[in-house]
Amino acid sequence: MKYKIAYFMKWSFSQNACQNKHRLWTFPQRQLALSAIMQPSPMSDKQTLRKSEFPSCAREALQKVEQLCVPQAGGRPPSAKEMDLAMEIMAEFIFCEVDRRGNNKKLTCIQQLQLAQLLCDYFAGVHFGSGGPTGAAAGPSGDTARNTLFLSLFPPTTSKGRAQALVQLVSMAISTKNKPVLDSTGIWMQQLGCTSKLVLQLADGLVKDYFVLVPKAVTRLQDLPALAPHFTANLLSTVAEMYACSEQKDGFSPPPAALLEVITQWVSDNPRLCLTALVVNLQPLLPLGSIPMAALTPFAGLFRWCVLSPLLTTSNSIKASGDLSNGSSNGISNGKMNIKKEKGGGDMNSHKRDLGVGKEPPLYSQLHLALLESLVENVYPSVNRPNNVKDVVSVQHIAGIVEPVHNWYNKQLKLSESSPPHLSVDEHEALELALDRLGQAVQIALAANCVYGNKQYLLTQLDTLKHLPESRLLRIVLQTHQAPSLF
Amino acid sequence: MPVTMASVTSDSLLLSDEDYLVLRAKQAFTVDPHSAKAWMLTAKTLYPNNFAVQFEAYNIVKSAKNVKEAAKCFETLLHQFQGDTELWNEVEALTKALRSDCGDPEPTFLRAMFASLSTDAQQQLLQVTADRSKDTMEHCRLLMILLSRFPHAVAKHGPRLVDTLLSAEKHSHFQGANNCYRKLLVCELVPLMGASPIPVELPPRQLYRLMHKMIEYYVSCLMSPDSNEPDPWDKLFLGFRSIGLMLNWDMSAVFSQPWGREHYWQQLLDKNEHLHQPLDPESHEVRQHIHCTAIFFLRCLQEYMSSLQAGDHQLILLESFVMTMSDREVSEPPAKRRKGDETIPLITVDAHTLLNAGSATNASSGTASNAQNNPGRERAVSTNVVNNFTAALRCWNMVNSQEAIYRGVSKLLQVLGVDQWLAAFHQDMQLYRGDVNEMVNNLLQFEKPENQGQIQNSTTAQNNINLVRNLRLASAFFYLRQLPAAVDRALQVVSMLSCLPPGGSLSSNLLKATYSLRHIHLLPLSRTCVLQYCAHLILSALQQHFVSQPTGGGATTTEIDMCVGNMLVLLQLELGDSEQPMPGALDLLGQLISHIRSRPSFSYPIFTNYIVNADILEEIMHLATKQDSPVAFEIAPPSSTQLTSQRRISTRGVDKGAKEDFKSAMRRQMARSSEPLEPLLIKFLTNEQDYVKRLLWPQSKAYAPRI
Repeated sequence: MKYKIAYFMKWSFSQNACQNKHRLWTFPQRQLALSAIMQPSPMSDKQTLRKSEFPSCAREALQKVEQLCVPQAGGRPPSAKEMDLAMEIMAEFIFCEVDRRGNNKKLTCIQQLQLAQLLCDYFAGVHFGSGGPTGAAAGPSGDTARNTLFLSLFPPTTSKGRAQALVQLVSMAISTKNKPVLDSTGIWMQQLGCTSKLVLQLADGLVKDYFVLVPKAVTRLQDLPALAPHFTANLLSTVAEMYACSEQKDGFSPPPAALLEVITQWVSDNPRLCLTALVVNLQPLLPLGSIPMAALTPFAGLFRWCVLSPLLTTSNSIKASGDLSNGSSNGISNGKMNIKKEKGGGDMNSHKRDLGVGKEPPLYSQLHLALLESLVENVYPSVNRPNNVKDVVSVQHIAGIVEPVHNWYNKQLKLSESSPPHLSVDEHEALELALDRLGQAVQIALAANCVYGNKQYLLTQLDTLKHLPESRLLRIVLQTHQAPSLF
Repeated sequence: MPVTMASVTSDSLLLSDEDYLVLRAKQAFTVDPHSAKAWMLTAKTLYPNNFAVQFEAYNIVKSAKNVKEAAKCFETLLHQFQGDTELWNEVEALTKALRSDCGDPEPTFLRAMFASLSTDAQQQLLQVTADRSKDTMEHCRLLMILLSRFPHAVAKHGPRLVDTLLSAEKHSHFQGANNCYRKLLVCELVPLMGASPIPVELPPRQLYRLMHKMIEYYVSCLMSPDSNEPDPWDKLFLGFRSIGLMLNWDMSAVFSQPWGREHYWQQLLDKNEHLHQPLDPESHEVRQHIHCTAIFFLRCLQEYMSSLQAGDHQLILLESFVMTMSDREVSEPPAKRRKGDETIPLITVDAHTLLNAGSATNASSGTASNAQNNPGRERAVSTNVVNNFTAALRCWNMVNSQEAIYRGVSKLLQVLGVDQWLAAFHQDMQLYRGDVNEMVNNLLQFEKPENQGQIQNSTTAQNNINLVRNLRLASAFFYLRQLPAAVDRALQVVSMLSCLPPGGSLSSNLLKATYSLRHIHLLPLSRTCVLQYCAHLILSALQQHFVSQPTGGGATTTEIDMCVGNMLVLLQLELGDSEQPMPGALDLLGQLISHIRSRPSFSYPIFTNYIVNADILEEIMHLATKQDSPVAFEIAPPSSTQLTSQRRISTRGVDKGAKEDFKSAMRRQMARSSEPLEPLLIKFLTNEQDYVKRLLWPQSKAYAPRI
């Protein structure tokens, strides 16, 4: 997990909090002592809750958890014990992962839906943080309170079952256009890191819900960037990484066509969408004492899609024409990611056949352009836009595209039956297209001042492509950006 | 050794990097527009300062008919490469498209693209184009497009454009105010400046100049018959108000109201009364008042002038005739007139001449029947022209009441080129006021440069002017009781009648009973009307001469007979066909007949030539044949056969044959009674001028008729 950062460690800076795996925020020691005095009786709370059945117990439990986790206006932050109690209540009454004796149990499918509905309603309907008589001045604002509760419900250590509940919740929120839930989810994604396992799981679940199982996703998701831009941007980043993982052999596995279509439309129609996570200031939205995590933009990942797509399409077409039965088993399409191992291979294949063998889907060209325009938009913002943001894309992230290209080239040469080995005409074209796109992406990212890190490293990486059939654009880009040699 | 790429042709290897990228974009364009754009975007970021690359990017989106993208590219080009010729060609195509309504795809696209440009870019574009334009008119037109699209730019560019247009007009030496620069200035720029959201700053001197140019322009439109400027007064008032606002005139609000003469007049009058004394001609207040008054006066004047021209025949204001005191009681109900009106002349019009509609039928029938047909309308039209006159007069009186205002307005009117109207109005005004000596002097002044001999060579227009002048002079001399001069002028008019349009009908309004001491009349300039007027004038002159003769002294019997005879001839016209005699005509006939009856004899040698009226002939027959003391008539010139014996057709003596001769002569005259009178009268007034003239010149005593 190259790009993963120790998100959780950074999240909270208090030693005290770090010791407690459930605690997501910090507070002074003095207040901790104070809270010990006023400690509530955990038993009485639980017993009260046990009197009602699911789902009403879940609703009451949510209120209780909110009381425990969210500091009231001017009030104290929760103590360790309160947090523990909150965690126990969540496990037993909300997600129903354990019974009163601590044995594992599971909600039925219908109950899971009920829970998702209940959470959606709760987040959308409750006015957080308005309880204190002194108003919200000293305490957290509504958004902050909501995010605090959300982060408490789905901590980084969330179990697989609860992660499934999260997928259901967000999926429902998307279809019901529940902005509060989506906003909190966006923040949750960024705080956990878009490449973290949990977030990837969520994205995977959503992709399944919306792009694999449901047709006409495009029309249903058209408005998502306008409704919840931050969530959409982080979802984009996650999905981009999901299909462009450097850990796998080809460095890219094509996403479902519907997903590609939606993403292309999102990026084309919303030139600032990819930059949203960089622009939003999370600090006031987070629980007290938390540090906003660095945002990850989808640029590098999506560029990787666009650059590698022609290569894979070509190699796949060769495979398809050469040996159809082996087409799906060569590890390109269903290798994806660890989490993607189960099934999915069939889906991928059928999707590929739809596109027509050997032809790169035209959407990649459009997506590529949309990405370039988004970068340019950052340099010349249209009217009344905030100033341009820097650190859009890291040098390493872009340079990561180079290696899979090398790998592909070497592999094609190995597979070549002619002597000396060389590429077929189709392969040439595919490589040229890939290198042209790479060159365009690098050029515009550099020109738009969107790249951070050691640029020389990037150029050196690009320089290694010299051994491949020459791309004139790459040469031009290198010439333009290489610092004049001292020797 | 690297393997060459398949799709890159060997040609492209020779290309420069820039051209290579442009080529790739172009190649991709038909296959994959997205890819083409990506190439263009790359090229643009690689070579931000390369015109060819940027221009190609523009061309690509332009050929894709992408208005928004094209506008974006064009804006970049405009921003970065203003000096480039290729771009300039495109700019020119664009401005050309803006000025045309051409529906071709290219101009349509360019117009749409222009609309998509940012306002800054639009403004910059037009400004730059205008600045580059070598042709002044072109420059001004472009700036005008700029200003009409960007009202906020008016305050900035308006004043300079005013200067440009004014000096362009000056250096082009146009004849008259109706030229292209003036039109642009007045019809387009002034309204734009008036509507400018930011007040336009111009020095007052310039504003006054602008105002004068504007008034002059619209006045010339009003004056020229082929002007196609609709509603010049509305526009003039609008512009007047705009410039007035720029001059901070409080009166400019008045001119935003819809035109109503009385309404405007009251406000002007009110202002006039509240001017701060003593008047400083250079003060803001007085200048304002001068301009407002002048423009109001101009409108009244123009309305009067156009109402004079509105009918079939132009109208001319002349001194007319008043019934003697004893006649007054007969007509004209006294209730109509207020006491103290005696100094104000009565003004009458022959209203039917003002009606264009149905003039063919109306002209043939008499005035009276015409009046019966639609009296209401006629009255309205005739009151209109009179009201127009009195309104102009009233305003002029106000102008005259204060020296500073008078001087200011006169000076302004001089600048505006309305001398023609003003001269005509002055004559009418002088007549109305009775400043007739002055009027005569003016008229005679005009006469001097011309030489009598030249008249025949001159045009009908000149003839017309001469005729009108003589007519005015005749009426003026008549007013001054300089009867010989008046009659002389009237006779000259009759000799020139052929240059007038035929038609018109006899007027019943020449002679009016009124409590006023004077009567002036708006006479249509047609042959019949003018002849009637001249005849009436001469008739009145003779009548006055006749009346002024002391009984039993001064004039000889022959003179008096001559006078009466002439009057009988002239009276025929007004007696008409006896069914509808003009007012006063029968009375006069009665007077003349009773005069003859009171005499033992009556001698009028040209009687048989000119007297054909049945009424007169009957009266004469009656007088000649009555039982007690019949009048002895001598009514025919000696015929050629009788020349030796000197016998005349007369009832003098007891010659039986002579009596028969008289009777047959009278029968012959009677047979001629349906003869048209107008040619007869013209003949009389042409051939027998001396008969008429000599009566009025006491020194010449030769009364013998010409043979």
